[in-house]
Amino acid sequence: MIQASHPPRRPRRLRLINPRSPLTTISMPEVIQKMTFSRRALFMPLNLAICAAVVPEGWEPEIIDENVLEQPHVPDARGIDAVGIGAMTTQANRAYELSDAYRALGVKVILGGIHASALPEEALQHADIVCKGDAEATLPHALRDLDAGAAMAVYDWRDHPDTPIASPRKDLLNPKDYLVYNPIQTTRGCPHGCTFCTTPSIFGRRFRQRSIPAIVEEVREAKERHNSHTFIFSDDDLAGNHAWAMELCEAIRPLKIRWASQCDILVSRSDKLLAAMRASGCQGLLLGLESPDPRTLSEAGKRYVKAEEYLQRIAKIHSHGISIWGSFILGFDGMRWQDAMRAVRFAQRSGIAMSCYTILTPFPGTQVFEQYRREGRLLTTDWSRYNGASVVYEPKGMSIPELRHAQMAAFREFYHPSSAFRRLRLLPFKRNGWLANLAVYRGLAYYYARKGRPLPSFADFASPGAQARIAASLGERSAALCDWT
Amino acid sequence: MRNVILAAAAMLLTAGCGVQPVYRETSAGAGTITPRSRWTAAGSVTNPRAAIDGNVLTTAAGSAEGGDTLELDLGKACVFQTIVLDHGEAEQGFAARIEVAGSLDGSDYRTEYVTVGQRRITTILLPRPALAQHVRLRVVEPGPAAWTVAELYLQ
Repeated sequence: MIQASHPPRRPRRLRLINPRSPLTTISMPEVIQKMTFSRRALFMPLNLAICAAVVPEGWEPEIIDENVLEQPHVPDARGIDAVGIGAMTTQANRAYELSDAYRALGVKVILGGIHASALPEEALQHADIVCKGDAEATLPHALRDLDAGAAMAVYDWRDHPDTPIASPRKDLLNPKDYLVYNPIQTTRGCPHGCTFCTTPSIFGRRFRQRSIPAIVEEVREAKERHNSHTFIFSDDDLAGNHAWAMELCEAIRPLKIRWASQCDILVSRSDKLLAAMRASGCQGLLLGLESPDPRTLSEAGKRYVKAEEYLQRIAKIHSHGISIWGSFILGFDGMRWQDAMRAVRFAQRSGIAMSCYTILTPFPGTQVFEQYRREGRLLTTDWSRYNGASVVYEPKGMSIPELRHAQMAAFREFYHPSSAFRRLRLLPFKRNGWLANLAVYRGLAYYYARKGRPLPSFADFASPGAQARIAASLGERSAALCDWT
Repeated sequence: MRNVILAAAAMLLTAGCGVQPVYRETSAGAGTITPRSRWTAAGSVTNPRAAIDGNVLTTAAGSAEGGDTLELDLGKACVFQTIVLDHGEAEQGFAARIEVAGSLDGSDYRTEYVTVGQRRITTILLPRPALAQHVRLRVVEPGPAAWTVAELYLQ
């Protein structure tokens, strides 16, 4: 009896796209090129590498990263069965353009990432499916249902909360395109609930750790394949669980790597953990300090730490030989330009190696977004401006130009060579710290020189003709400081 | 006497620095916005004409529940990208979310943008220029108080 045989079904192709980020166009491209050793982008899209790792059988993934392309990606439906796009808020406009274009070509589109997870109703205006939260817990189910012709509109990670964190498919990306090709995620979520942060809005207070053997394996593979010895653990709070963090440090110590990551300042509670981190190769930690002012910390929802303890906790971390990158946020309601200056002076006094001063951005899903929306203080929903450098809400303590000027003055004064000297000293010589500080200052000076604008300073606020000086530094056409566009 | 001179100098310096008009009549040309005197207003709000009468003391009033609409007929198809809603004395009379839709024929509307309102004056910058004769604003999500529009401008 002859049995009819069916030819094997060809694998379905999933195109994963990382939309162009406006952050790449904030500074002049040649400045970025100089600072990143001519790589095309800073970080590889770890989110898409994870998506690629979890596609079910019968699907083949490919990744397109617009940020490393010379020209924007031109949608092309040939040979693909679905498109998946992951986007942060600042990428959302471009994500929606791409989604609309692919849908017009008859291709099913799946949107995921922070922005779609926060605003699924908006995302569904541009996509067939929205994946909220973890790709591991949503994308495989979405693709299987798509195959079966029974896809839902929204897949929520909370329906499968215990799905393990996957190991990414970095083989689909070119290491030469990225300055940081080996970001490794070891935890997901954060145990805290800061008002400005998207993490609690998507994951709640749920904090999960990845399998330590999987992390070790990923590090080993990177060492063997790419001769990598320096890693970024791209977590929100690597030390959110001290006991687990100790285990991780013990496991990676034999690998003899150097690494940096982000965590909260409560890591300073444990000398044992700090010593283990240092022994395992920790070079530096990014700490979300936000402000040295207790009122601002309270407004930021950082109730787990007291501002007056900051200096001693920072000193403790330093005593273990770990450098600190302090992250500050400017623009909370209780903050005036003098508070921004005090934040810089604090950072200088504390001796931290690096710092950044972000303008408060009320990302969708966060408590500040809801608060400002209720109060009618959001100025725009042009998501490309939600980038930490634009003012997208009506501040209370400063005018918009003052806030923008305070941010740039903060960078300029912190990274000025005299400030770098006071913080880093000459001995022991911290080569990387000096290189980074001088590079940032040179980049700033170059930028302002090219634009023909004076470098900003906090002294401008107190000088005669303050408005005109601030306008000149911002490149404003007039001294009318009410013009925010 | 010195105080009088100082006061006079202050008045001269600040003359014209009060509330600036947010709308300037555009010159005639293809697609340019018609003068407000040629617009008509309708919708579910009470007294829709008040939103285009040039008087910030008169208001088109909606409800606190949401869903209200304000519709304009510009007289001909116009190109615009900015919509300004002055909420007048009702500073809290903004919508938490507002939809802007345009139509060439008054029946088939296309949503141009959905965005947030702002207290005192809501300024909506559309992602791209819109071409429409009929403009419809709809409160998608109500704000803290009844939706109030003292004046509406297009640019």
